[in-house]
Amino acid sequence: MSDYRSLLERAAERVSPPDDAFEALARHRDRRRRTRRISSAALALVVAAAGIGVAVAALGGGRAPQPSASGPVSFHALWPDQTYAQAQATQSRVDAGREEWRTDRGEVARRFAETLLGATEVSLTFSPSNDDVVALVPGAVQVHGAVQPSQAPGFSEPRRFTLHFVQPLRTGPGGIWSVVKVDSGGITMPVEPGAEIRSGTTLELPTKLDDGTRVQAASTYIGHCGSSTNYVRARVRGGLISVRVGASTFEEHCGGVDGSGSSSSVGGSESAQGTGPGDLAEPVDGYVFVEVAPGAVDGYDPFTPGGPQGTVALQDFAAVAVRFVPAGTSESPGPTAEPSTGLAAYEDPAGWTISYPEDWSLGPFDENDVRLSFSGIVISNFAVEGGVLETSFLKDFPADGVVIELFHRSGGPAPIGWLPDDTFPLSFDAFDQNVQLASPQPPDVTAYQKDFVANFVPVHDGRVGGPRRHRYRPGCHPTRGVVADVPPASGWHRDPARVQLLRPRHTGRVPRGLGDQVRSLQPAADRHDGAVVRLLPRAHGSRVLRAGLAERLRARLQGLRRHV
Amino acid sequence: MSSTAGSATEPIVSAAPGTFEEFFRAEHARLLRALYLVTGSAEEAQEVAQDALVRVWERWDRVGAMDDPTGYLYRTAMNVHRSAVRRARRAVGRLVHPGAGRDPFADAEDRDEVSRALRGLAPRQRAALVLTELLGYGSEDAGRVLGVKAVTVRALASQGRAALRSTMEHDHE
Repeated sequence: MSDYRSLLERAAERVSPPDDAFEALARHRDRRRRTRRISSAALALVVAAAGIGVAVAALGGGRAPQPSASGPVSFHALWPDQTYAQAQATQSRVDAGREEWRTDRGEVARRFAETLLGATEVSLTFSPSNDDVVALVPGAVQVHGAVQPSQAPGFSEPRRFTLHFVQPLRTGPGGIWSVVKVDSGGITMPVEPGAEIRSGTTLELPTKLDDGTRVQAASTYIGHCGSSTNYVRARVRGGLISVRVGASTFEEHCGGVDGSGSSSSVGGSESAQGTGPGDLAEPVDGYVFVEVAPGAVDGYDPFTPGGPQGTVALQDFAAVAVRFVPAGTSESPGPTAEPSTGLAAYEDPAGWTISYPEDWSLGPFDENDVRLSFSGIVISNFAVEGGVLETSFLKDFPADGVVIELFHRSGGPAPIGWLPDDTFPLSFDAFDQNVQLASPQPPDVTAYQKDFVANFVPVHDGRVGGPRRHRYRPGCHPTRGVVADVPPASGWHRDPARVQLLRPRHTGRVPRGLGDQVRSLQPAADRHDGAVVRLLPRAHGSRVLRAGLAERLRARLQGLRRHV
Repeated sequence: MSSTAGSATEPIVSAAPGTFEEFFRAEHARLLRALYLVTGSAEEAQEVAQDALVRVWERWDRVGAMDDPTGYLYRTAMNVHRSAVRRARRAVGRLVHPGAGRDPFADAEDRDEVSRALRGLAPRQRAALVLTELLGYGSEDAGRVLGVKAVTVRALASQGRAALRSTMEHDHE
């Protein structure tokens, strides 16, 4: 029989991929990421904070909805919802089984590209490390009015937009997604979502646009009964776009409107006005955007319905949701800002460093239950007893309390080592927001959590096989590691076995090439004892040795070395 | 030669794609059909393909720069499949009636002689046959995908061909 291929091909024709295969894959990936977040991690940093003020001051900014001095809630989002009331209404509709696309980040991104960027087809790439979505828009234009994209001035090169997302009301599968920031391939918005911008601040946006290119920037105030946008023009100079934002007063005369900020009231109501140059009297939420177009785009706010008639073709575009504050207010420019107070630094045995206000307290904890042990430190601005298992401090969490925990976990299921390396120092935006802690958690305590990954070391040449075939590369030999035996775990946690070395002491970007190179070893079921082998820093090993596994570990280490 | 999304029979050639989505469009259909033959179940093939593709997607920065990202994809898929088989075996082992673990090909269209013939092969023979005959892998490359030596691949594929031939000849008698 010479034509096995045609026979097999005929049998294979029984199955065909569905039309929405890529979208299904994206959903599958999102589910997998959520599951993985819930599952174990070798190293975790937990920040539990109550009150955005202290969190912002100490760490540079949380971006969840927070109480506001001037309104019921300070809310930062660009699209589709711009106010807390709108988001609440949308979430209610979603909970009632309508508008399910709002819970699909990819679908929100796709509609954003179609609605605001005029894309008829868009390629989406999901960031593996955060909630960003990169939208590649092939030569599309922003179309306003009835003109078709093909009739409008086009751009031959695909353009890249990075859409930053949050789930503003609740995290998880049922929470709606909102776009809070847009960067483009040509313009970078140097402000993080939710940052406080002093009235009249000059922003400098790095850009790849040619010097002399005309741009239009705008600040939009979103009030209780309407919005107001103030435009300024600028030109690119030396690779920067310098624009003054929030440089006008803001007055509202809501009249018969109930002031709830309902969706119908936002969108150019004449009762909300920017009344000219001057300082803001009160903080107000809003957004900043910069747009570039070959033609005139005067008075065009892509986030606001209505506007000029005809076609508006945007060549480039960047935006961010912010909070404008009076000029006399101290500013929170973003998560990379250093607190103004004096700082102390803590460096843990594995090399991780945390800077914190020097008047805060630091204490160690070491907790164990049957199969898990947590060892680390707690940094806090109030008295804290416990850490991960003992969390009675959550009951009396002060309104301005901040707790930072850095700990190593040992025992339990093997960590899933397939995450890409994180970038150091960690940005607060990289944290998962509104994490539900395992222990009973008061509703006014917001937890942020970040499982981070660094330097998974390649241990063999990429071929699947057992340790006997491995050759440790020079420099990757676990000279500082010990071989630890993860306690027996059940089910899928035990396979495939993986080897990892958590290399300490990072000061900046983790070198590429060392990251995300975990290799599958031979399946656990094929090993003589089914154990997962991990190479861990000395600190981990010492703890495991104390747990009474010294002899087994030595035997395993010797056994492994024989094979090297 | 570029890959064709709709065919499972194009020789394996890395397409050096620019984005993961391009890679996905080029490889998905072929991967799905190959896994269908290996697993004997369209549903399981879909699950394994999704798991493998997501893993590749999550490290696309690195995989996309490889000489042979397609080979990496198939290695990953075979690993995923093997893990699934192990889990299934463990689950079956805990059952009171061990006979419950029916080969998924039993659910296939019995009137199709190829499907019926494949059902008689061991899973590793199916995999070796699919990799070498359908996908055009050499025994060395197929061995890397399956985690076995090239000579083992040749033996498995030969056994698979013989069993397939025997079954189909028997049917024709």
